[in-house]
Parts: sequence; C-alpha cells; structure tokens
Amino acid sequence: MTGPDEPAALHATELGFGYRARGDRALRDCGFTVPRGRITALVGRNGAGKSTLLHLAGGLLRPTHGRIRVLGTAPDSAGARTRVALLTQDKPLYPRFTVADTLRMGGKLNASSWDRRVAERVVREGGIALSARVGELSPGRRTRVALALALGKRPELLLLDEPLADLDPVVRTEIMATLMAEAAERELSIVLSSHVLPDLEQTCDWVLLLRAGRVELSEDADALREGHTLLTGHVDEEPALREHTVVHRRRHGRQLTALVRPRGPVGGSWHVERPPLEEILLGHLQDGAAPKEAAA
Amino acid sequence: MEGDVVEYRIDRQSGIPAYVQIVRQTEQALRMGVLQVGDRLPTAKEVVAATAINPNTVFRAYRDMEQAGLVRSRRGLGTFVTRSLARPGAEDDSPLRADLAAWVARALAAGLERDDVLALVTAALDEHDEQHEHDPGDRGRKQEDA
Amino acid sequence: MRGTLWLAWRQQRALIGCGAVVLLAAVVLAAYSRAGMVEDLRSGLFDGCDPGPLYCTRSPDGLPRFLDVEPLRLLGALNLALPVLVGMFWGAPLLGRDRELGTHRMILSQGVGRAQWFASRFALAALGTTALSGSLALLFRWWWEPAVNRSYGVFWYEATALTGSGPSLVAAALFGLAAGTLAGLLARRVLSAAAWTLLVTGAVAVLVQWTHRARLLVPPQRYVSDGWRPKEPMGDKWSTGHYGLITGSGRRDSVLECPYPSGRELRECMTGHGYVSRYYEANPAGDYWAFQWTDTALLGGLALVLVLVTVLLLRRRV
Repeated sequence: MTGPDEPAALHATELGFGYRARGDRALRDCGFTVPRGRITALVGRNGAGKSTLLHLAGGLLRPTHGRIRVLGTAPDSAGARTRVALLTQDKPLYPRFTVADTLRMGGKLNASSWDRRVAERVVREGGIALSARVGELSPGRRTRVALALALGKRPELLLLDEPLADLDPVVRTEIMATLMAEAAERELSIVLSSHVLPDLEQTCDWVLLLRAGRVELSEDADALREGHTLLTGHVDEEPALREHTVVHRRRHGRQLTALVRPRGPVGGSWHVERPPLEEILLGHLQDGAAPKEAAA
Repeated sequence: MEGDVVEYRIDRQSGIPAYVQIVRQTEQALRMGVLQVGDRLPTAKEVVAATAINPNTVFRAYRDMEQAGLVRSRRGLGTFVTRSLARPGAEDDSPLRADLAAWVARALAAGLERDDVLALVTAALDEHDEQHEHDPGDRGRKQEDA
Repeated sequence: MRGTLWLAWRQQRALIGCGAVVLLAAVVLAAYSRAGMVEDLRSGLFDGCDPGPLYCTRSPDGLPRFLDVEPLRLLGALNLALPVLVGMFWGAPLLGRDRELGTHRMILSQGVGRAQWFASRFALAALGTTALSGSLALLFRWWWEPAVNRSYGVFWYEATALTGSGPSLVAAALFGLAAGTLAGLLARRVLSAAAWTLLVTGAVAVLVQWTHRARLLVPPQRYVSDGWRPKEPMGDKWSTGHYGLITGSGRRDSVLECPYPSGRELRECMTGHGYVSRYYEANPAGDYWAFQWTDTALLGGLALVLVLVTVLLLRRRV
C-alpha cells in the first residue's frame, strides 16, 4: 500500500503525558506505530487516554515524556499543521458564523491547501444550507460542518476524537460514509476514537487499543480477527489453555468461555468460533483488573 | 455499461468480512444475470459512500475478483465484468425453475413448512456434495446457508 | 498571517464598529458643545476673568460665572473608564471567547500556530484600542482648549483632564486590553475574565489616582515667601494642601500656629514665634506633562509585562 521508507502516520516512543492538575499520568510508556493509509480505530474505556493521545498527535498538547511523530514530523511543526487535521470531541465552531463564513474561514486559514469543492460537497451531502448559522444546526450537522472544515484542508492524516458520539444511527452511517468516500479517493490516513464498537467493525483496518494509559494493541484488524478464537467448553479443559494467551475468560457453572490468542493448535475438546472484531476488542477492554474509572 | 447495476449491502452483524460479502454478492449478481460481461462495477468511492465501509475492503474484494478472472480493472475507467457466471438454468423463465416451483407447491400441499422445505433442499445439496466429493470453490457456502 | 488577520477582523469588526460609533458621537457632541463655549467666550462675559481668582463673578450681582463644561467632563469620565471598558469588552473575549467555546482547538488544527493566533488578533485589537483612545484623548484636548486652567473652565489637575487626556490615556487603554487578554487566557470564561479585568483595571485606576494625589511620582515644589509679604498666588498650580510657617532655623510648622491670612495679627504672631517666612507646596501647571509621561511609562510598561506573560503562558495554557 505504501512504501516501506515512507514515515508512519503515527509513531510514538515512550510517550507519556501527565496533567499537572490531576497529578497522575494520562498516558505512560506508549510505543506504537500506525502505518499510513490505514483507517485506525482508537479504542479504550473512559479515561484510558484516547483524547490525550489525539491531542498530543494534533499538537494541542506536548508530551511530558518521550515523543510522538506524525507523518514523520513533530506535531506542532508548521509542516504537520498543514498536513494533519484534528477534530476534537466538542467539535468547536463559531456559533455566530454562518456555514459559508465557516468555510471561508477554512479557506483563509489554509490558503495553500484548501479545497473548497470538497468542503462544500461534504456540507451539501448533509443537506445543510450555506446561509445557516452554525449555532442553530443540529449536532449531526454541526459535526458535518466541522468535518467539512477538517477535510477541506486536504489533510494526509485526519484525527477524529469521538466523531460519532451523540449522533443518531442514520447520521452516524452518513458521516462514516462521507469519511470513507474521502479515504477512497485519495491517500488519507484516519485515526478515530469511538465507543461504538459495531461502527468500527467494517470501517477500521487497524486497531490501537489503550488501557489505563498504556497501548495494549496496535495491530492490523484482520490479523487480530485471525489471531483470536472464541472457545467454549467444559471447565475441566482449562489446563489446555495454559500455553496460549487467554485474553478473557468467563466461567458459568461447568461451562468455560475463553477468548484466546492461540500459539499453535489448542488441545482439548472445544466449540471453536471466530469472534467478530467487536468481541475481540471487548475482551481486551475487559481483561483482568478493571481499569480505574475516569473521575467524573 | 452502466455503473449502477449492482448495489452492495453489507451486513455488519454477520461476522463475515465485508470483502467476502462483496465478492459473494457480485458472484450472485453474475449468476442471476443481473451483472453481465462488460458491465462496470461501482467505483470504490461509490460503494463506500453507500455502505460506509473501509475503502481498502472494496479494493481487496475487487482485487480478489480480478485474480479469479471475474473482472478486470482498467486504470482511470473502472472495473469491468469479464466473465459471466450465469447458467442457463438459473434464469427466471428456465425449465429448472418451473420444476422447482411445481415441487415447492407439492411440498407445501403435503403440509411442509418453509423451514422444512429449506432443510430438505439443504440436505439434498449436502448429500449430493458428499457423493460427488468435489467442492467447486464455494468454501463459505455451507456456512452461509447454515 | 493574512488568514488569521481576516479572522481577527471578522470577529472584531463589531467591536471596531462600536468604537467608531462612540467616537463619532463624541466628536459630534464635542463640536456642538465647543462651539457654544467659544461663543460664550466671545460674548465678552468672561473678559474680566483671570486664572487668578478661584472663580469669576458677574459684575452686578457677584454670582460666580462658569462656562458650560459639564459635557467636557462627561467625555473625561468616559476616558477615565475607557481602560476598564476596553479590557472587559475587547480584551477579555479576545482569547477568552475561543477558550470558552474551545474554538482555539479548531483554529490551531487549521494550520495556525499559537503565536500567530495570538499575534494577529492582539495586533488588531491593539491597533483599534490605540486609534480609539488616541482619538478620544486628542478630542478632549481640542475641546478643552478654550477652558484650560481657567477659573470658569477645567483645571489640568482634575482627574477627568489629567487622566482623561494625553498619551497616558493610550497607555492606560492598552494596559486594559492586555489585562483583559491575559484574564481571558487564564479564566477560560469570558464572563469571569471580564470580572477579573474590572477588578484589576479598576484597582490600577484607583492606584494611579492615589499616586497623583500623594504626588508620589511627581513631587511638588515648595513656594516660599519671606516675612509676611503676600504669598505668590496659587493660580493654576495644584496645591498639596501643605502650607505653613518656617522658623529662622528652617523648621516648618503648621499654619495653625498663626491662623491669620495677613495684617497686624499675622505679623505679631510670626514675630512672637520667631517665624521668618511662609510656604506652600504645589505642582505647577507644567507638571501636567510630568504626570502624563510617568503614567504613560508606568501603564505602558505594565501593559508590556502583561503581554509578555500572556505570550509565555500561551504555550503552557493553550
């Protein structure tokens, strides 16, 4: 898909970040690489550090430890600013601007790379009038305008923090379709965080899973699917799992259900299923001691 | 030569990878004669805009079909059907179809329910497969019908 | 830079328009009122008035005579409040609005660096503030001209004139803007930023008035008159309220030791106590500029420090 010499979309080494006010570290010892041209699902529970990671990649925060590179450069460099777009969770826009004003602003702020056609198309696909005031739009339409602003600058890397939260299923699908169509047309890497795991099933081909501030998975989605099996059997069969990685296990009476990353053939008699991505991700998120809940 | 001859529907809950679903739906359309030689498949962007799936999935499905010799992509023009899977017996007005319709009518008259009919057909197909010991490339078919 | 300047203009044009309307209204009022003042002066009613007496009296009935300078004092009051107003309504939302809406994150992910985001909008606001405060200061000066230091007019040491005119007004307005901007950066809410700005700029304004009254930065001069000779008239000087008597050895005593304005009683009292001269302390009219320049340096320096702090905090806070 991309040459081996091309810098990765995201590359972090020993990345750490601590909010001074809270004292604890939101991210610690994160090392991972997300190749270019991928649509990456950034998953994790609340407070796992998803937003922090995206803000670091977008240059809104600076790492307190280690470093992160986007497309091979520092996130707050001028080069990265023109090539990376970040849409934060609150999708901030000026409420008193009209949609046309907002897009004109995009053009003025990105003089060299702005593509008005793309931005206007994204807005039009949502049936949004250019003369509408941003503050009066529904959440879904606001998201679409914010997305138009992000896509209009023709980024090579698009970072989206919970772009689908608070949107109804129809709008979610529409926005996802717009994103995917944009990715189909040109070289665009997308990293999107989401709690809506089913939405990620058919859209993402790379998974970045955070647990309590650490990166647990950074892997191709198909490799994940192929690398996991869901075993159901008698609890007495459990010792057979010893030489494999058990991601998650659940006992119910005499029945044992285990999400396993086998290292070779699994002995014993089991009912074997190939779990969907959603179940694999859930298994990794639930595994072991539950991570600390985010402070309300 | 229209580009909108097929529309893919992706079932997100099925657990079947989207590229497999695209390949199967294309094959089915070819079998039914919905797609014919020379037809242009929708572009990846069109598929993606309609289904909100990962474009790489579509690229992969088209690549697989190209390797199987079903389609050929021409740079800048699109992906075109090069081979038909339509069999004379599968069309709407074929004698086989008429036979099947008559058989279904008899089965229902005999008191069978829809599921019984389907089970009967599946069993007959399985039996046939076992007897003939050949699997013409439809690996996933049994799973799909199950 | 052009892009962010466009955005700055797009967001501040309403404020700039507001400023222009206020200025225009002030100009109209000034032109009308000043014409009236000039006409009154031409009528000859004030011909006999000098800066000397504290007020001018009408010949037949002895009533004091004043020019209508109330509208001028009104402009002076507006100018006094200008730093607070600029700080609250222009400075506080400058970064505070973006901080409140989170829109700085959108701007910063649109190919704009922090420094540029701040510099372009602050530059435009500073330009607008300078133009507005400079124009209002000049307008006050022009309007004040016929009544400067006249018993029937406005003396230079009145707060409305001393603080409401001259280059110090520009420095004060820029200080208000800088204070509001920093408050917006720190408070993250426009409303609380405006409240903080009101508090800080208000306190500084009170402090400046206090330094004037205490003559802290521009010390007064001592005017000494030997013996019981009449004192040099106060005229347009700004008295500190300190006056008294001096002995042969140079000791200064309160005027209450000999509370007589002149005449025999004074003479007898002074000789009795061994006083050889009398004195009073005041700032001459020329000190208007000394006050102006010290205020300008003080407030301009403060504004500069605040801008510097803002720039330094920009990388940490945003």
